[in-house]
Amino acid sequence: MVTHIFMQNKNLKQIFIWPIILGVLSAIGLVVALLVEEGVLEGASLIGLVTPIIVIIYFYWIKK
Amino acid sequence: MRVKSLKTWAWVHKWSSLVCTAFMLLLCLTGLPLIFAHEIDHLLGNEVEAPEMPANTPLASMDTLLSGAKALYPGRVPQFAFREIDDDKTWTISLGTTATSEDDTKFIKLDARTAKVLQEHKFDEGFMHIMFRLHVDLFAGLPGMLFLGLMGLLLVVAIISGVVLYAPFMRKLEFGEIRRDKQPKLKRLDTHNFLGVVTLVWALVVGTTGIINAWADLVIKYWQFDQMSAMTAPYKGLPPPKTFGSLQAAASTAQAREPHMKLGFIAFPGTDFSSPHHYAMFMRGDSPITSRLFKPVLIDAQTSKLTDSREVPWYLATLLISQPLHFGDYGGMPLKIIWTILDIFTIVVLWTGLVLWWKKRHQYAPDIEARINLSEAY
Repeated sequence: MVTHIFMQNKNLKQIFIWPIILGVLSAIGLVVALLVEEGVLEGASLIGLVTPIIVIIYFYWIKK
Repeated sequence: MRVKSLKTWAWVHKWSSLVCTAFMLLLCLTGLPLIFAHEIDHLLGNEVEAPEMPANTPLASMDTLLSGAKALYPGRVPQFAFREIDDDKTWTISLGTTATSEDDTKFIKLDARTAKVLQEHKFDEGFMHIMFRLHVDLFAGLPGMLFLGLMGLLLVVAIISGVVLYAPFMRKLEFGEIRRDKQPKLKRLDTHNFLGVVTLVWALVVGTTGIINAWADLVIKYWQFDQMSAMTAPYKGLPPPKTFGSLQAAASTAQAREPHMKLGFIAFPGTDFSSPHHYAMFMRGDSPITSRLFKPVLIDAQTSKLTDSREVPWYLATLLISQPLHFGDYGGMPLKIIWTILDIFTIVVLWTGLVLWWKKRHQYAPDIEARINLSEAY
């Protein structure tokens, strides 16, 4: 039996901070694109939605 | 987290996913071409464009358009007329064998300025129609829709339980860390967890709005019962009119009532979206959100005078707003491409999840603690 089963190398905050940031960005992106038609805000909303994709590409294919 | 509750969450995640995965893969795959339905129709030459004319070219009367369509099929009854939000140059009129018939409907697309017939649209055949039906109802009508809605609900359960399980498996891993040099199953697990958690919000939104869309037929039925019947109450019991007044006059009345909105959809008398006595004119705004919130304006089909107009109730508004959030069709091509990429990532999450389960379905793991400690999958 392993004794230090739940040795907490990372706490919940550390585990979820990036997923939460990316989730909030996605949510903003989804909603803002629905509310505005064009202009600066539309660009901002696209950035919000593109960021998770870039993060995936970066960790999966670039940073090895 | 206690081991017991962890085991429960693992059980929930495993079974909610397993039951819905095959259908979710189907939905993701059929959804891909549907994102580009418009573009594919153009590419396949299924959509005839109206020719360019000066912007101030006067529009033909709606009555001329209607008689042009009816001339092709004299025995038929007009059901609906509709046009795309970004297309003022055409109207498509549907003609059924009766006002409420659903099969063998003819769709006539006409030039809004010359009233010339552009094409007969076949909405109920071909590759895209198969994709659409597989995606919406598995060719099984309302029961199929509700079944897929239920699968969507399981997906949401799987996503939430997946987030709960994400924590214990990530204690010793950096965010975005993919262990590719060790066993393939670790790489698979890390890929599943990483792609899953990053696409989380999008998947939840598309999943939830998909569930809402599965209820579309029932929501619309309720709206007819709740609102349409109240609006047309004064006409209750009157014999349906034999002749109808001018469609153009009715459209102008609706336009005058809502000068800042645009006519997007007409339901002819006797259809499910109107009454036997009314043209129902559905008006839309021009922003991405107001263009979805169709406001009904009921016009007496004999006198072309206004009968009633009401705001869209909350449940119909919820349905109408959940549609763009599901389709991804409200931000032009960039949003469609984002939808495509996130859809593909979701397919990877589904697939890796399935393989993770398949590879270890015979393994009994009594010692979940040790597995978590190694950040392995349960």
